[in-house]
Amino acid sequence: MTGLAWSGQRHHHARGCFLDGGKNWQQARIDGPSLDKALHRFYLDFDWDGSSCCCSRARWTRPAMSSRPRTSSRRARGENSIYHNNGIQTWHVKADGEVENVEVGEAPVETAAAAAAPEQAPAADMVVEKSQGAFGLGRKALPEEIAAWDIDIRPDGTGLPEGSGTVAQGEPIYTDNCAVCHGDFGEGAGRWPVLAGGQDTLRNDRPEKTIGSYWPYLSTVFDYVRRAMPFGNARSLSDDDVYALTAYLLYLNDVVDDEEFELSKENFASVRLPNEANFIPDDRASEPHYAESVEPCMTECKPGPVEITARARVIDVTPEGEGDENSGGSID
Amino acid sequence: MEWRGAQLNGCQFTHGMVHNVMYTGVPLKYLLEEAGVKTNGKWVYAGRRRRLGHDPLDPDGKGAGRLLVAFKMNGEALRPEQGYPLRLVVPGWEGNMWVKWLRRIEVGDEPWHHREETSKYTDLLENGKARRFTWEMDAKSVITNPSPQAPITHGKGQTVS
Repeated sequence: MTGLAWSGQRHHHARGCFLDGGKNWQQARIDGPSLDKALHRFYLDFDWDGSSCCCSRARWTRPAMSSRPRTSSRRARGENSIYHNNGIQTWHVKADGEVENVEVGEAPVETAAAAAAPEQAPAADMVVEKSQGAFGLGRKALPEEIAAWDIDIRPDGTGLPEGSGTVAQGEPIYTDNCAVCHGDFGEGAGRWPVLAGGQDTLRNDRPEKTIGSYWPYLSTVFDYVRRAMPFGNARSLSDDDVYALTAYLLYLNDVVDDEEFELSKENFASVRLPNEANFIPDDRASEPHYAESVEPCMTECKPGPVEITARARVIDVTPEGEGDENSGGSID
Repeated sequence: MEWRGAQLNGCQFTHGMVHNVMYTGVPLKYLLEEAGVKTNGKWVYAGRRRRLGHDPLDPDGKGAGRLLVAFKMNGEALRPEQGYPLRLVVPGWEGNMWVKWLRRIEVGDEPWHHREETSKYTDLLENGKARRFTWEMDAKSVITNPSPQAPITHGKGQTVS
């Protein structure tokens, strides 16, 4: 949620929003510095579970300037003192998402002492090293933290985990986890990606770009499967499973033909994919249109009358909005 | 996606997905310096699933010196679909590299050759060769008004936009 908070005085901090009718407050995040007399945007992240809840706007730390329950305002100023309503504003979010302006019963008064929440201290056995940078921001990452994030693999095998797996071991793993989308033999189901075949199609009008026909490096297969597959259940396979699956994909692409072939951390970098040599650097600047660097034509640039040769409406694949799957292409 | 001719009826689709907004964030350069990046770092890996590459501290502004780790779009915090809480802004380069939901940044001396720079986002030519690392946008333009989603509704006469 987000909102605006302001006052005519100085040095304020958004104190919080509440999600349960004002019983419990959560610290809102105020955006940017706290400036005199300025409106401040504040934010609070929350997962709405779909049930009704109440949300309220910010209050301020300084007790004298806190928003207060409207009942409290009325007690202090009567019912006709309408120009300086600093009452806590409550929205009732209904189950269908509709929001209504409501008033709730009086919330407990905040105290200054409650405002100071202790910072979460790191566990006692963690050695935390402060950043050495110019701004002194943050701390150095722990080796364990780096190890948890650092899963990327390069073509030379840098980053590969210990492990191994054979083609024969990979087949049942593939059948159970991959075939539903990629087909029993990597041929692709529906519009899901084709993983095998397509050799000698790269010069065709509709090339089939697969691991065997197009991908330059095997490390890409291992890295991607390990971090992102199976779709919807990523990181569920063991490293040995991923070695076995990668071996099986080599087999489906005829890069290896022995079902007992074992792929491991040790022999991984020695396996080369057939299309590696066909990748070249960006040489667009050498295309005649750019290389000749001529001024573009401005008048009488084509002979004869101008004719429309294609119409998007005829093809009719324009997505109409969010979630429209009618995009015409295959799924990446 | 319009390479084969007119297919998609909207200015949002003709040159890839187009957006034109104002981002607010922290130059990646400062974050890398703060973390103590090594001088042999040439390639930046930005995790979610993807990576991107260039000289992270290139002083002429072509490399990561112009990259922004953005937390706002048009003055508001990024929304989830825009990459909340942090996304990369990579002016002039493929949208693929504007990594959303940024979770980690790694710097290395060699490219990673991951899926989005090998299987995808490489440019297969007629001779079977494929260009890679074609990050920079060619010169492009598209008229947003009038366009399929913004037809002229007032009949003949002057248009003002």
